[in-house]
Amino acid sequence: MIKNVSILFTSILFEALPFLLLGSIISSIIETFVSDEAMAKMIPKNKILGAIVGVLLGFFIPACDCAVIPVSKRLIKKKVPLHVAISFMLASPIINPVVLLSTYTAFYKTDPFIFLARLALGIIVALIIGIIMAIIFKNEKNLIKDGHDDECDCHIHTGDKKSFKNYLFSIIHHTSEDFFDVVKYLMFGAVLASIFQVALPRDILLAFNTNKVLGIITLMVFAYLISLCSTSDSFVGKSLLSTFGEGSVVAYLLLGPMIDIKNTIVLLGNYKKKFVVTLITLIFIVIFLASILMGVII
Amino acid sequence: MKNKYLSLICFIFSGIIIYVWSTNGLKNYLAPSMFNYIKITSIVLIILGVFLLFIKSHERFKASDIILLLPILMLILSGDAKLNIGFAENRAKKYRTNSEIKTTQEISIEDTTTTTTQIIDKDVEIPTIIDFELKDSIYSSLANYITFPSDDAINSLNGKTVKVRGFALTSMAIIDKNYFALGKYEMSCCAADAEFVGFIVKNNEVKIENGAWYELIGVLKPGKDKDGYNIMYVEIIDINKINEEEQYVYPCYTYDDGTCKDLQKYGLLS
Repeated sequence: MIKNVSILFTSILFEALPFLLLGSIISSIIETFVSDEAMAKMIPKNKILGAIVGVLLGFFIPACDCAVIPVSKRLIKKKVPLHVAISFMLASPIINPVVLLSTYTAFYKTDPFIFLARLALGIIVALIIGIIMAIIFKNEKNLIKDGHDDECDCHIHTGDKKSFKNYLFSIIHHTSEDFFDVVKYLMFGAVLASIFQVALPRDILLAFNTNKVLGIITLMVFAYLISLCSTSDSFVGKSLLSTFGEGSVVAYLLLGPMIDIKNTIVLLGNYKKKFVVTLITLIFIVIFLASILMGVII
Repeated sequence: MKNKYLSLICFIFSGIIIYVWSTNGLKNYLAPSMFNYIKITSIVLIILGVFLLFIKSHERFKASDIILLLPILMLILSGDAKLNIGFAENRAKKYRTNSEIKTTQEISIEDTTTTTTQIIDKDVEIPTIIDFELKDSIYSSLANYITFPSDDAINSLNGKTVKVRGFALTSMAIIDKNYFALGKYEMSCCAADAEFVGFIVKNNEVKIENGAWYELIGVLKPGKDKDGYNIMYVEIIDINKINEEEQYVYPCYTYDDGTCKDLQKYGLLS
């Protein structure tokens, strides 16, 4: 078992590192080149429109569920409204082009409804949760965990001399800061995910699949524990379709990219606990309700 | 001071990637479609590490930073990076759209053909033309298509010959005692998403070792699981033990410049 856990840990790390680094670079570019004032001008004041902008950002910045965390943290630090940052964070791992292609490949020809449901519900759930979180935390000034120092020796701040060297050092410093802030917690999460992947017997899933509601909950918990990246969970989801049905598989495909045990550890390392717990609770509830509603309507 | 440590970590991460890359081990962790990303990451990490040597930091080293050395330990514990048989038994593929296998109890596969031939006749002629020869590039697509056929496909598959290499699973709880599974792992992104993919093989005479590698030539026969769903199983014509091969197969488009030409030969869409 130790060998299997080690192999899976290394594979999760290898899969996540490139996207984490990319997300950190994007985040550092935002920090270096985009001022708080410029950011504020880009975001509509209206909450619903702002959340839609957050979702659209998710389409154009192809960040997986690991990479999206440093980017969304940077957006929040830049005083981007919470509903925008959260909508982006939740939508990006589902609607980015790479994930859309893998979902299409897995489902469109045999079960097109699943592909369309993941896309549509992914957007709707991200919008709803973004707006609710903004309402709950509207009076909270600081959601980032204490100890994440904004001061740097990067030599570039508003009003500083804009030289190539200063820009470069700023990008390097913030990339390193964001990357290592996240990768530490990613490792904790990857260890837990690997253990669950190896130790959790798949038979147990069937034991809990006695009705549609339990089936949805079972696959949501399964998605949370096994922490697959959003490009590959489509193929695992396809293998579960015959046993669990469409509602449960859609819930699985929605929850995994938005939150899993690996990302929980990363979020707890970067955001305040109350924020993370509220976010996770909302994700579970909204996706559960959306899946039930989908089952009733269809 | 901390930046010197983080610089070292960058070099260590990059070194791990380069080591695995140079020993041809990336395929045990990632699908080929991901190789370029991790290779570029190793280069970017070296660049980042070099720059960090020249940037001062007032942050202090924390005890929790030690976890950044965990990948070294995990790489050592990975050994030859071959997943053991217990992993496959847990990942034995859940059957496709029209079939449900209750894994808490054994299924009995009911033959729907009228033949009752169960003896492997050593003088049986090996067919000269094999209808389905499972190369790695089309392994998962063909195995899924054949083992879990649509209603329309059953008649066309019945009686066809198949040649496949893989490792045997004899102790999966979902398999009737007169059958075993033969297949490989299908990896679409990384080892964490690996699923077992292969064939159900009917066996009455040959001693099959759990986890051992075999090359099988057989005839496809239609069957039903106890819930009445269609499956195709393989009746053995010839089976030989072979040396261990690559555990993984990948989606066909990762092998063949983005297309799955070989599947078109079988009339299958890619």
